[in-house]
Amino acid sequence: MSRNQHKKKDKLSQLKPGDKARIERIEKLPFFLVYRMQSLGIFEGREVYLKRNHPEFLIRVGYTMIAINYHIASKVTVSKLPPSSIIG
Amino acid sequence: MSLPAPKISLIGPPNVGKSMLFNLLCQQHSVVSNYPGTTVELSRGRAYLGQNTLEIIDTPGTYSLNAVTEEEKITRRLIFEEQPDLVIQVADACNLPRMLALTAELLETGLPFILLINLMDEAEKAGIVIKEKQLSRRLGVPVITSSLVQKRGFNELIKAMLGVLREQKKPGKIICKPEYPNLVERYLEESASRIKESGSFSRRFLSLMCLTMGSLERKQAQRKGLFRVASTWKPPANKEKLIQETRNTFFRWSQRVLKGVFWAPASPKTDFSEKLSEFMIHPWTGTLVLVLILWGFYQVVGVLGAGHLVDLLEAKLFSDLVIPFLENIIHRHIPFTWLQNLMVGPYGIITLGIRYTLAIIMPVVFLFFLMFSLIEDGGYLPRMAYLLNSLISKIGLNGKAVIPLTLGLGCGTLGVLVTRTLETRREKVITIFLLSLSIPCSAQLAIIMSLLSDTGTGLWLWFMVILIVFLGTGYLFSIFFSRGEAPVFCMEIPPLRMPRLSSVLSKTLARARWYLIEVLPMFIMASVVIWAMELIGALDALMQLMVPPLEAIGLPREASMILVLGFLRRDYGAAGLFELTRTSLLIEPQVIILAVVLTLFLPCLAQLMVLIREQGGALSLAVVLASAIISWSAGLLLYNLFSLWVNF
Repeated sequence: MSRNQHKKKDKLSQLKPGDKARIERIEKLPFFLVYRMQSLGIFEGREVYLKRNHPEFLIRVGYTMIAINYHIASKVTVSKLPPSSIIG
Repeated sequence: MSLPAPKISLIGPPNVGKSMLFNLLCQQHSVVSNYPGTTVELSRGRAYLGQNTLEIIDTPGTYSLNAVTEEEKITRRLIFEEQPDLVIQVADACNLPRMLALTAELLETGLPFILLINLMDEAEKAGIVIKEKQLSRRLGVPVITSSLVQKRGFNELIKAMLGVLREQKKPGKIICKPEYPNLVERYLEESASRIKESGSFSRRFLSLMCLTMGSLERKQAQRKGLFRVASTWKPPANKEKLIQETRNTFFRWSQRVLKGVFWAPASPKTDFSEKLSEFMIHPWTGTLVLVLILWGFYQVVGVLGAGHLVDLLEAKLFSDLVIPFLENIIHRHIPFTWLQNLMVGPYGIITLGIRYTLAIIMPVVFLFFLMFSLIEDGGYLPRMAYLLNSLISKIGLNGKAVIPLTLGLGCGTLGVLVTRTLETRREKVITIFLLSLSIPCSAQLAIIMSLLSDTGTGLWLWFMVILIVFLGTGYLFSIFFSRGEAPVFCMEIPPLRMPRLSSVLSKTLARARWYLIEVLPMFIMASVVIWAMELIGALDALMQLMVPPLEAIGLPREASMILVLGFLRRDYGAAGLFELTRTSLLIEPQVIILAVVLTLFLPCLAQLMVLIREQGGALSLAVVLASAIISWSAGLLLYNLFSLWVNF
């Protein structure tokens, strides 16, 4: 493939357990929900680690473990990071 | 002339130890919980430190002064209206970066400030290093690290508190200020120019706060002389974007401030609590854990509590000793029959009210609260919500709703109060309906279980009917109230912690005390009401009214009494059912029908009153009507079903 792969954008819902990614954007979600997510540390630019994807998504951002459902995960655009990245 | 005690407010997000600090300072027992939503109002207490008397104010979990939730609005109002003499922000050491966003806002207020970095024991276990002295210099305020659960840092905090209060030290210069993006800067400049008076807060800070202040809040603040905005001021159209950008700004600022001062290893270690957590949330093993826990509840609350303990207290202590003794005294010394009746008659204050409270209800409710506090302190509840979310979203609810629903098994009134933690009105309404309709409280459960367990399949049948009603009504409501919104579930899963005996006991005692204080007067009042109604014949009239519908479902006249009692106190009704069965007036199918109808019937008086207070009269009326209709219909269905085999 000749295309530059390292800026590939995925949805958080497409990641597999064990993946690390950087949050690029949070799409249209109810305001109070985005507020809550920000309060828990889910910001644009932060790094996220996916622990589980069923029964719900379980992610780690910093030292906080957060459970989100598919609907929310599908609204978060991320760019996958190579496995050796540091979690911030 | 004595000065009023200085006010000290404790501010911070949920689960960081604010309430623990409050308890340490005031030697009081507010309920400390591991999941958000327990301090739902301000708690005030007095602390006596040496010769100083201080007023300590504990606030509900707050992430930002740009208040979005009701709890945060309460905290913000405290800051604005009471302007505490000292603000202590309690922060989680492991998550210091996101904690500092609130620090930025609190520093803007200009009030004397101390940052308390708590939960250091967990940070140290994770290998996190914090240089608090350097951070203190950068922020211009005292910074104390602590592990309150290990009692570390408490004395340093006291010293700092007294120091700040004595010198009335305001925050010093911060090393760098937050850099807002142009969008926000433009808003701040424009808005600041429209603020006429700002009291002790900066205009820019007020502009920021106005983003999340409703017009009512603004008017109130202005009436109290806190600040004034020009009448031309309007909330900007891109308000939500501004708020989001502001929070992003604070977070970036906190990362700059913490550079070199906060260091965390690349990835957290996986220890035993991690592995146990995994075990609890995996669909297969997690269900096993849930079943085990439910079995544990049944053993402790049902068998030990409702069985042995109640037997001991009710039969051996009260019925055999206390009551005959009191009856004797009262019959001898009190001349009036009506008064005798009021005290020790069939529905007397002592024979019904106090006996049922102390001997039957309290042991069961106490044990329920004990078990609940145990799993709560350990941190199981968010994991239970995680596991059950997909199931419970089928009836339109969020995984978080399992918490009030589970509490409802202990006391429905408490369950209704905890629905405050649910985000949308729709979820609150559906949960309240389910609580009032098909979740039996432990008092009721205890008696019905011991009653029906003799009948073999009776208990299972009762359980199946209640479950079907629960799922059915939940499903119907979710369709009926649906607005096509996609379900959202977003919840923090705090680390599993070993339940601490002192914490579990204090939570249990606080809840049991709450129950006794809030609910016991209702018992007494209920006895008085029934006694009065009986005296004037109103009781009979009411029961006559209920007889036709009851006969239509195969129940005897006495059942009407049970239902009326059941409304006044759910367990009275169940107890009445118990008595009726003992006197063998009912056949087995009738017992089952009556048990079902009783369980589904109206929420008890206490719960109804809380409901009216929380959600208003209209919804409460709807709940009352719905439960009356549904309980009768369920009875009718069962009656027709049983009639195929039995002659009533």
